[in-house]
Amino acid sequence: MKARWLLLLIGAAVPLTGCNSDGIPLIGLDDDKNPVEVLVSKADYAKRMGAAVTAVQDSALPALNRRALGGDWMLRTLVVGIGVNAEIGIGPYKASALPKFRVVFTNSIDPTLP
Amino acid sequence: MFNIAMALVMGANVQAGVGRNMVPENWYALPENRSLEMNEVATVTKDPKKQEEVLNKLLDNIFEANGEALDQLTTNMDNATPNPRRPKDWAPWHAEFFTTDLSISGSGLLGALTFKGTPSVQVFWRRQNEARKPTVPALPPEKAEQASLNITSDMPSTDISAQLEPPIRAMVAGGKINDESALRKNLTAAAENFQAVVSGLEKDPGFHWWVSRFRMDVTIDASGKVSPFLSIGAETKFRFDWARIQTKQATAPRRQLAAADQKLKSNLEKFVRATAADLDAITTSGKVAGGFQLYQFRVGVGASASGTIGIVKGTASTLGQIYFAQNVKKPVVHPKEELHGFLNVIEGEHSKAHMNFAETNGIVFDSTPDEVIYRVDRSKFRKGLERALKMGGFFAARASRSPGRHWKVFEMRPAFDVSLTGSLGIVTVGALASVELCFYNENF
Repeated sequence: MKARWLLLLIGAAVPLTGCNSDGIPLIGLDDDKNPVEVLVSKADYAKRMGAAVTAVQDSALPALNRRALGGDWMLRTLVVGIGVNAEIGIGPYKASALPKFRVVFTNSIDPTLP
Repeated sequence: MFNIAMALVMGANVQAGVGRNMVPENWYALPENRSLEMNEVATVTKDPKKQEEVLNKLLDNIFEANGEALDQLTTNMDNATPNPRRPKDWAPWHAEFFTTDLSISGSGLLGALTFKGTPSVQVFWRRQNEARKPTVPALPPEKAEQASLNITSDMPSTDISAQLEPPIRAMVAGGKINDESALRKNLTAAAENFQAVVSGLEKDPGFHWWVSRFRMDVTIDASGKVSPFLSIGAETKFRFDWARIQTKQATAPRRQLAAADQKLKSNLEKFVRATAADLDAITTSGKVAGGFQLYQFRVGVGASASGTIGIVKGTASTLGQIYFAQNVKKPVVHPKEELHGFLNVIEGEHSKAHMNFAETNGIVFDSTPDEVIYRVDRSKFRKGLERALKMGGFFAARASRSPGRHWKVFEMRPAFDVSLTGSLGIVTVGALASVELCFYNENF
């Protein structure tokens, strides 16, 4: 019971401590297609997005670098689309927000973007 | 008791955001939808200056957070050793381009988007006066692979057939098409029709703005029949893609068009000319917002059963997408475009509320079993475009201040929906509106 009220106090403190001024709202739709808005801190957003794009790069580049030159066709551009799972909230009010992004990898200094 | 208190706390978090990070209601709620959405629209603060400050802070946070995330990427110089077989523009494989979205919720809250659909109008802002920027206009990365044909107006029939053959074989091999010969015949005919229709788009309209690309998506059923409109749950999709190569003289179409297709072609040319004139009228000042300049404009077009061309409202009955690009050179002298007439807005679904709104506001419309065509005053549409550019300018102004170390915002792509009144609001898909942000890697 104590823990529940502790959570309540922490939750109530968020808007009072000024965290909102450094927060980023994530906006999406829930299962019933109603808008869902959840606030994450700027630091958390940067951390999650950074981890996601780094993971994408770490997966893609080794494979791309292993490709041998030759043949009539050369791979110049790869587009990867990713959703970052950022589940935020407590108990029945949990909301799942999925910031989406796309990263384009290329081996050209003057790429034609798709 | 605890749950009620918890709901209040969670609500307080959301309300704290709703009351602060909100954009003006007329940015995203179209007049004909306002009465429908009134329950969802929260009250906007009465202090616009404070509201703008809060929005600026939020945008700065989003740009900085994305910049910080991208700066975590390390530059990998593997495979960077010289190799004579490499092309001149070779660089080690690297992440070059990153896009994500801003969103505006049904209650006006601005934030990062977590869901997205297809807009009807999208404008592209690019940072100017930078030493390094992509030389080729960037197009939005595709969301899904789709069989396609890149066509030019003077492409011989043999080349069209040769290009179509691999996707035809792939579609048949996929088991979704039963009649290969019918598919080949119908798709070839559709390709040649498309080629004939776009040949007129190569004419230089004499404006700053010209058509740089036209895309048309068709659907194919199991019998190999090709239909010119996308339908929901369609069997197989195929895309025709035409990109203009700076030709000033239109290529004469080789194929003799049927009367209906000829009318479609003629109406398409009229639509292009009128839209280019509208864009010209509102952008000739060459204004830039925070170093960003509008350089590309994409509009979703549709055609009614009678061949009327207009901007498509909603996702149904989309004929294709037209991209307008802007020349940086001085335009040729052109006749002053008269500002009378109407813009057709085609809505696939029969919205009773929209028709009532049109009647109340004296907007003429024509309802057929398949769609409703609203006749929107062109001068009002032009004003709507101007306002849309101001909205884009707001986002661009903040993007120009983002201090990323290695990654920079180079493009902003707000997407708009057209109102029956001619105004434009940031497009809502589901209940969300979006603005696409594009970051480029400065290391290469």
